[in-house]
Amino acid sequence: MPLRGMSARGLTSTESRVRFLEKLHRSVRTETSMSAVKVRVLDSVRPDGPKLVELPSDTVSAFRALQPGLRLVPVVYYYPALEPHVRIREGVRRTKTKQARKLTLRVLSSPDGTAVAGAFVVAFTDFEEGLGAQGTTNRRGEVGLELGGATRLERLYVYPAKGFWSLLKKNVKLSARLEVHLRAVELGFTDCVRHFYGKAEDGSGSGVRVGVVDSGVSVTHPDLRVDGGFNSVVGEDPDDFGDAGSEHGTHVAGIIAARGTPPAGIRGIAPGVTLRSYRVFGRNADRASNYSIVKAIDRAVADRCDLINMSLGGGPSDDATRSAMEEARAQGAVVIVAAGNDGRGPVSFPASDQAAIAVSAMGRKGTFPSGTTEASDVKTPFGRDRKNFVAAFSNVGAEIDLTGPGVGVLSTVPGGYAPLSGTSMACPAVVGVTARRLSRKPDLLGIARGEGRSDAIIRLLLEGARPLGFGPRFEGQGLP
Amino acid sequence: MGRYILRFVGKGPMPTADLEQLRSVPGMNVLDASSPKMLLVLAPGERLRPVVKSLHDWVLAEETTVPLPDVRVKVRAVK
Repeated sequence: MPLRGMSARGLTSTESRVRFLEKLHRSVRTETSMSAVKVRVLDSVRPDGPKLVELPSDTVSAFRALQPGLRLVPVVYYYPALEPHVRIREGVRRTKTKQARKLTLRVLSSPDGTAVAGAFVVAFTDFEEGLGAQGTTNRRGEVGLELGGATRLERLYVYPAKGFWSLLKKNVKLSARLEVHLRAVELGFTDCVRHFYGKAEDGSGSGVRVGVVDSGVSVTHPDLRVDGGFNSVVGEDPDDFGDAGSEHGTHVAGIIAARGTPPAGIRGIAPGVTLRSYRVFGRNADRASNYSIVKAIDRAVADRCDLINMSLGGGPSDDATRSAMEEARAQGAVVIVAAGNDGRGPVSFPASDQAAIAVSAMGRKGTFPSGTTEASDVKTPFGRDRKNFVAAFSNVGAEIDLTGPGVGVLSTVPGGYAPLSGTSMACPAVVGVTARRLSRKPDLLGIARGEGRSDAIIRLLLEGARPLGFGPRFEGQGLP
Repeated sequence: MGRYILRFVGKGPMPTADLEQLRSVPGMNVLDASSPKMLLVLAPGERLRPVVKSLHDWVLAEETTVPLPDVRVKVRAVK
């Protein structure tokens, strides 16, 4: 059905969509072919109204690419609302207390042996069970870890705050003092984003306005130019849209729009875009309210953003967020959302909503140093090029529209640079490449702001993607 | 009592008559009214829901939160 209701006619309809719905209406109980997509129309409420259709699940993404303005809703069956029978739960297991053993781990820089402060260290004595200890290094690069009676670590993860690659060691023999060395980040390194999208030309993405709905974007980083923005957190200064205790938004923004030049700085995919920051996470907060997010989307639309990046999600679905994303589409803006990082879990909301473009994360072997935590992100399926893989953390499902490079991505963080991984990184990679392409299409950017404009942008984005061989559940239409 | 988003999805600004009706819900406090299309309110849900249902072009959603994304592994329990 059309995105904003049961009828194609009215405010948000387009002639082509009405014609398409009417064509389906005439095809009830027959099979209709559109490019490679075969649709069997089982029922139709009226010519311009909803249809009950049947199509193979691996062609859902292709259907969306052909008709981005239509909502494809899976049929669900409801059960009688009877009281469920009680069942026995699995018994709770108890762990034995062992004699405490404290380890001091020292984290040092590989080139010069200086202490690395602020690194988050996670030491597993039993990885499957999630047992172990964790902490953050102090100014001397040291962290104390209480590890019971363990003599070995199954896995040791070190996540530095900035300036270094992470570290993953397996089967580590414990001693009273343990040292690990981190590799410094080189800004000219070819990570997965640079591998697929190369070096951006000066001005690439110009004329396109991008809103980053996130934890705020650093307004003092030398590689970023933030045109403006808005802080939608209730009770905070609306003009305080800079970073507020998290590197996340600054990293996301840098993937799209960083303007530096290696080796002194870093460059995003579309450094010429007009970048705006919409902060939805409170200062030093680790959660964002859906109210803040909805307000931010509304504001980004009012500020005439063409693309809205939302590297967030995971809450329950709600009508307010859905309505804001639909309104954005109706006003000519496209909302691109990260699928979530639950390790092959279902696509999280709001990426799962039809009004969003959902992005999974992929990676490529050889685009991150060996011995880093990125090694644990390698997982099947592999692509036709066996170096490409779908990141182990990425959520997947029929709602995925596209995949993007999101493993070991170098970008800006407040006060420096860092590699990060996540669908949060894949999402701005897709936004960046979309901005690049849009910038070369002034005729498309010039379309009056309405649903026809957003449909045209989505078509440009989805039709420009190439499948890598993972399959539609993992990559949708592929890598743009 | 819960925190709710009231969003007007119709054309134009939020209708004054609707706002008056919403503000008359017993026990309701408006926490934020800075958006032209929405209110954030603290209200008893059982009293708010029927009023919203009686109005056209409004959606009601509970305020929820999403976490800051983080793919770093963490221990679930101390050994």
